[in-house]
Amino acid sequence: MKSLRVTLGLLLTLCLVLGAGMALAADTIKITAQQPLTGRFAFAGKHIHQGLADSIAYANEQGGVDGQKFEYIYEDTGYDLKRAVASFKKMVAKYSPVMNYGESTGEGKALAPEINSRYHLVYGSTSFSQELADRAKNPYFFVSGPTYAQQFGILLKYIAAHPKTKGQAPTVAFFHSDTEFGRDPVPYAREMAKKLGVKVVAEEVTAVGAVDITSQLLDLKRHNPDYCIFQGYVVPPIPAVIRGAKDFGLKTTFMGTFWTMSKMLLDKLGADGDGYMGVMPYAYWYHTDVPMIKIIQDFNKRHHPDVKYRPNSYMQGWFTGMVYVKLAKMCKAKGLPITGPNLKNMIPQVKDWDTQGFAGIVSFKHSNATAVGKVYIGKGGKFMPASDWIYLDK
Amino acid sequence: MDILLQLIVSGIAVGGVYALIALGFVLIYKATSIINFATGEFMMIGAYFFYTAMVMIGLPPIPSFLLVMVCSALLGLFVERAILRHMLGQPTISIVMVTIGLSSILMGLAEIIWSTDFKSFPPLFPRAPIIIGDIIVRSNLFWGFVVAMITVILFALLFKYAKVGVAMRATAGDQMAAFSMGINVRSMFTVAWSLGAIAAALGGVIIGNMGGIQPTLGGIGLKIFPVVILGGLDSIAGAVVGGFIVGLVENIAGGYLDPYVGGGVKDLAPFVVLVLILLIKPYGLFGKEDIERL
Repeated sequence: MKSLRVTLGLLLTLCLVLGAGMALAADTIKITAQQPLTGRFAFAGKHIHQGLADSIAYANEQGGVDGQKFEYIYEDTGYDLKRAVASFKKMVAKYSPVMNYGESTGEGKALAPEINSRYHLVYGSTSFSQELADRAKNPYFFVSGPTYAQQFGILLKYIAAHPKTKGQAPTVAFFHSDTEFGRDPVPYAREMAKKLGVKVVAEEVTAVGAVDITSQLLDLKRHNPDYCIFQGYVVPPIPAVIRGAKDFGLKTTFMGTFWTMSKMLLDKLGADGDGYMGVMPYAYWYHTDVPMIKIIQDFNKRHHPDVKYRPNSYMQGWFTGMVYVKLAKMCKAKGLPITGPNLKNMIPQVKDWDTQGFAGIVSFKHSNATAVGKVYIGKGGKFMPASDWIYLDK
Repeated sequence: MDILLQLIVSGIAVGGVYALIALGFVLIYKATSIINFATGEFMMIGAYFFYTAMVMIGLPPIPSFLLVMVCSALLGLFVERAILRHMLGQPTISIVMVTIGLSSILMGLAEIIWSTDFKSFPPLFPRAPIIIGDIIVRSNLFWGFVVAMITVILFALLFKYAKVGVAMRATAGDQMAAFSMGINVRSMFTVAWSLGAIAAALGGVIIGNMGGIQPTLGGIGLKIFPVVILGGLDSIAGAVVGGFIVGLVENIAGGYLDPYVGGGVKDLAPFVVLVLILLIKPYGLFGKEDIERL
């Protein structure tokens, strides 16, 4: 009899503990994520995941939203679209999140109709796709920075302001991969170049990881552009193109967008990386004069003491976390419950948000993308600012 | 004219590298009649072996090359003994699926062992390009071609004159006859897998040296497929000729047509040539024509 009472007592205690835990969990603001922690995008996915997890953990350390904490729940998708979509649906059914992070442009595009019509949750992702930032079409989606097209716009604005020969229109070539990622910004970039008086003299296309780029190099030599912008690559074939161009005697300045502005590329380029330029929406780990970078470094010192460097993909994750927290705080400040539709309505209302030097002064003005970035230049294995923040919509 | 010459020289250089990787397919198919869809991953693992030897252990380039050859041979041996030997007599489609599965396993293993981060070797060759008259050949491409051609010639000599090479040729020609002449056919299978793995791995080192390495490097293996089919799946000479044809075709087509159509011809052209040649010679340029009498 006594043992029965003890057993019942234990069961009751267990129920109370679990119940309290569940009640606590129900009180959190849930953010689910499908992260490409394995597979061909894992080189970035694992850092994006860590950046997002850390950003949310930092927000919780700061008290969350008036004491209400965030809960970050993730799954690995192996950068497999089918797995990602299945994982999203499973996680939504299980956790009822109000925000979600997606592994790719593909996942965002695949889920967009259902998120807009059925799931109603705010969706950030690895993607810088123009289509996902289209507010009229996809109001629940946002891009954690400028879209690829806007990144081209920022670079072209810089080029227009820095002609190689005074009084002469600068010339530019686009060098992109034969993928959706590679082609995404090209039509916009052609128009933007025309508007800014920059002459597009060549468009080179290769497969990702192309072994030989001699024919493209010869075409570049024929047109001898002042600038050449890469899109749709991570590392190869950029080092081969830059070195080949030097071998062919070209004086072209090479530039890249977000994924080609990494330490990995500079490491591979070595001395040839000096003078390589490009656009980044965020500050780099070693820009310690930036207040938000100081916060990030301090957080890492406390939680990941072995970490010596965080790449730009980590910064993307961290910034996405900042956007989630900002939207939730805006809802709370307006006395609105933190729901997907309310969070979605906050996106266009983000105006002149000071990100403490991390991503400029951010506004989601004409689209659900930030339209701001800084041009950096490679010097001694690091990217240093070559411009101030360049705003496309100002 | 300068441009054409430049395209031809670069096409030959890259074709030589393709030929070496194609050899990885051919050596295995010739002896075992198995198309190894994991050849690209053998290539990728070879590049990682080299990275481990040179960057992680700190060996000089030549010992690193030798270590790659030993480790790749062991990998080929292990794969044949542990997996493919048990598939003898099974339907071709099952064996194909096994090699496709193997490619995923090798890619996963690379992610676990070396992580998914992009890695690169320290410079292996002098940085300066090779200049022949008005023609410029990028250093990595030129030296890659030299290493590839030396390796291909060594393999050809091995097949022509070494005892093991003759035994492998005999096995490839007629397994039953080879068996009755006292050749250990099973051992020849193992040797073929080991040599195939070495050829692919050295190709991986050359490609890795050009652009760096990642677990997805093996994707280039599929690009080599037109080379192998074009030359004939079971012909070493075919792999070499196929490599040069693909290298030349993609360079010349890319150089002259890409600017007019906005790109993409360079990657498409080898497949167009492949289809045209296969219409005339279904077994490839040098492939053995199988005649089955019912």
